[in-house]
Amino acid sequence: MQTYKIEIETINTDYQMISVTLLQSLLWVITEGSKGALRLCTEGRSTVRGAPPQWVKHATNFSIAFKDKKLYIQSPTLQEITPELFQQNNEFPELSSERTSLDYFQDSLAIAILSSPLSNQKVEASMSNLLYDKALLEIFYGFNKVFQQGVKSIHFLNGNGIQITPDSISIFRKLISIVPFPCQIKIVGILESIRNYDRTFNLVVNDYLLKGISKNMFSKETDTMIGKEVLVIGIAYFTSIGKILRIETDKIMIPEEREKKLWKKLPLLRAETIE
Amino acid sequence: MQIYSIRIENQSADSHTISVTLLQALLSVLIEGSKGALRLRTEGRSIVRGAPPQWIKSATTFSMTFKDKQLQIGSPTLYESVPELFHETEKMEGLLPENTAIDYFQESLIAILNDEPEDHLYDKALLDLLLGFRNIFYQGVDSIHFFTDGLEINLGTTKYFKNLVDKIPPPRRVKMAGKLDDIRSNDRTFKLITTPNNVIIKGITQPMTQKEVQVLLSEEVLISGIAFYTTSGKILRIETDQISLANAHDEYEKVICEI
Repeated sequence: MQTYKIEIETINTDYQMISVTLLQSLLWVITEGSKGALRLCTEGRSTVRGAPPQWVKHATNFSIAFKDKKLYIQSPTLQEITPELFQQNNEFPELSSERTSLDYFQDSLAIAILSSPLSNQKVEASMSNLLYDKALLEIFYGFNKVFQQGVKSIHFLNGNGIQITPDSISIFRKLISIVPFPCQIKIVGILESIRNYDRTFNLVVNDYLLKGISKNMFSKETDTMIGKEVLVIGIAYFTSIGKILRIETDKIMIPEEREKKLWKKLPLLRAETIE
Repeated sequence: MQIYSIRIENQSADSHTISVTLLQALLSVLIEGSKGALRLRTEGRSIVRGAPPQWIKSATTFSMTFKDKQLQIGSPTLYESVPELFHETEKMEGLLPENTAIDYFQESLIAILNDEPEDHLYDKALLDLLLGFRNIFYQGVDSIHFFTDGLEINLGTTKYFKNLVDKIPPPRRVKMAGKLDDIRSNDRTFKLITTPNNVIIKGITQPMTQKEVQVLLSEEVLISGIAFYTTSGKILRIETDQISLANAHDEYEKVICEI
């Protein structure tokens, strides 16, 4: 179990009581954001219609305390809630079992703020963008409701020490507006791995690792394609700089020679420039 | 500002932190229940589709803290949150400025648990809201002790709420005759003093112009609409689709005879 400290700077002078509306808004962003950040790491998408997997719910079972304008959040580590996912055949190599969902939430939050062209601080380009998608940015935008309750800033005192202010809301809004629309795609690459648990797969295209999700369970035939060149047809979702974040597909097949040549190149959409 | 204590009995050894899921479930019942209890007293219905009036939102803007398995809820009095309610000419009858929204929630809860004849203090929608307590007991909570009156809610209580819900007769179309005693423009509620037995019935009209109101006020009228009932089968409110002047109307006589 890890404990996180969040300092809430408000215009309110009461140090012992917290507004229920403020708390509900803040907890909503933290809980949904943590679910989204976890899911993004494993599936390449933060939000899917329907209930999240049980392990994601368990990983975001937080407890809280409030004292002296500080919110204390206790979060279980992933190992504590789902040890079975990390034993033997590690189901989620993307995740570290000793970390918590809040760690992933803070990573995504920090990257969204720091990697923005509006930010003065810069992070490594390779890390940026893949830790958030449009749906997660929309959850972050929920901080807006927190600021409507007389809050001046929210300071995450653990980890990367990220501070959220009303300016951060402008960043989230800008990032949401520049994410390109999803589009139909055909792409040829090496099918590196498939995971039946959540129907995800990894595709390597020109040394670039691409995440994908199949609409249906993988067939036995798909199993035989691992390590081979495949053609994936589906919808591509993009990062805020126009790179492919994931592909949602209903077709993975062995390509014909002509198709190999045609669909070898990754599209890079030009995201709208931030002024 | 009034402070209310809610003690949560559970198996957790940690008395200083509270599960977020549990807290969200409890706050949801408390906030929505308080809104419903307030609305029931003013409009005769606890829930209406759409956002509640601003004054109800202000009256249910609570603050909280948690310590030693006790949730402390701070609630403003109605006068603190919406002083204008008690200044205007159309003030809310039945509400006391020194009371809080939680006081009315508590009053409804007591009426339900004591099986009082005061069954106009709750309706089906409010009971449905209270069934939300079940989500709290699914989080390992044994019981919740409300306020200073020692009201205890446990899983058994929620079954009792469900039984009451099942006892309420379904809404049905009615026609009634009586004297239109009062119409409030801000929430379209009215009172009808029925003919012939002089019972006061609360109702909600379709939007009306000031001129239409003036014509009907204090007159003998015929109303038709949907009646909603209490657990004992009395009419809680009527949502009308028509109010017309009786004027020795044939139908007026017929409706009175039917009553």
